Amino acid sequence: MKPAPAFWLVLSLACVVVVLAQGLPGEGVQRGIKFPEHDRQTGRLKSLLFGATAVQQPNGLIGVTGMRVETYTYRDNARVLEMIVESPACVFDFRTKTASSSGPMKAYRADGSFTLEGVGFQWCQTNSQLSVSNQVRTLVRSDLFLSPSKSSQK
Amino acid sequence: MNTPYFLLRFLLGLCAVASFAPAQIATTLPGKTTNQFTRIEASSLEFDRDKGVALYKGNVRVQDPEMDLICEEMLVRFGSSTNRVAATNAPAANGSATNGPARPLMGIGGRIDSIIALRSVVIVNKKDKSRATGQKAVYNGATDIIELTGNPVLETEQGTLLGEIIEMDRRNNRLSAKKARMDIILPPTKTNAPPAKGNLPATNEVKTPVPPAKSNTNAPPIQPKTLPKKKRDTQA
Repeated sequence: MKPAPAFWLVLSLACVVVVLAQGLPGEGVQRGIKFPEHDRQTGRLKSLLFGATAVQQPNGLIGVTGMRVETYTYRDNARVLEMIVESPACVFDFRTKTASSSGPMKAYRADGSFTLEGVGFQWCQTNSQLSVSNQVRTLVRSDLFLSPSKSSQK
Repeated sequence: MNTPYFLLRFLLGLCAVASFAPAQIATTLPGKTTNQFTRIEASSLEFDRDKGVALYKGNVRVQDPEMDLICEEMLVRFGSSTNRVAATNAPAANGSATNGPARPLMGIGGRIDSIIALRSVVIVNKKDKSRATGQKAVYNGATDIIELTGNPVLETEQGTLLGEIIEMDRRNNRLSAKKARMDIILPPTKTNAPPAKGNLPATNEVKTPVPPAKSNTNAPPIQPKTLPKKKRDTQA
């Protein structure tokens, strides 16, 4: 007795599924990932790490592209975007909640009045520490820190 | 001469650089937006947002339209996050530096607790070319006083002010020095007297040592206005 064509079709699909399950290029890529960090006392969201893509690496780290970190402050229980850190790529250690990269980075205030650029950074999400290793360059809009006499003259 | 002002401005610049704070500060300051920026470069930066501390390390250079600063390390301490928010919500003071108390030093991060510039501190005023040097410059936000120590020297058109500690009281717009000494540079004299043997020096340097103050006490404040203005006029 010959197997029915449907049987072969099902068998073929099963083989495809098995092959896919064993791994294809791009397998394990997650898109639009978010790693939040909350204040342990208040429970409020302190910072949020976004990633365009995230790939699990063999050493247990997570390769993230299109990284963006947002930090927040609160006024009258309203959340206010405070600082933004961006990098084309970084490695995120989920255990220590630390993002790091030897590549370029940029940080700036939400209103754009402050910009920081550097090469090589580490962002520790639990204690909100940012370290920039090399070539730190900062631009600050001068009119934000005029002396009282000068600002009153305007 | 506006050296205290540019020192203040430098310190304000530091706090602005290191602070990542709510955006509302921009609305508290009057005046229109300018295209002028202050550029700050350093080898590395460590910023602790929770503790409110920022540390710039290695070849720190602050370039401002009005002044330059060079030092090896800059440490900025901010008030608590709550204070920063409260400070940024406060209305801007309209008093001038000479009338009434000065507004607390504000950066992007709001109220500043202290700013410390360390090691080989050089501050140059681009306008009048005055120059202040020392090993340490500390701004205390509670007292509004900037203290320059470590063989501080303040070089101006009128002369050079040296002392153990040079203090700039921002609140009272006062400059004082402990164990101070002022070296006044006189302009070249225009007389018909025959030249002395040898070459005349371009300038005559007169050293007028000030008796050192008692220990642990401030010397009488040296008002910038009391500097010999006549000599300045004759130079022009």
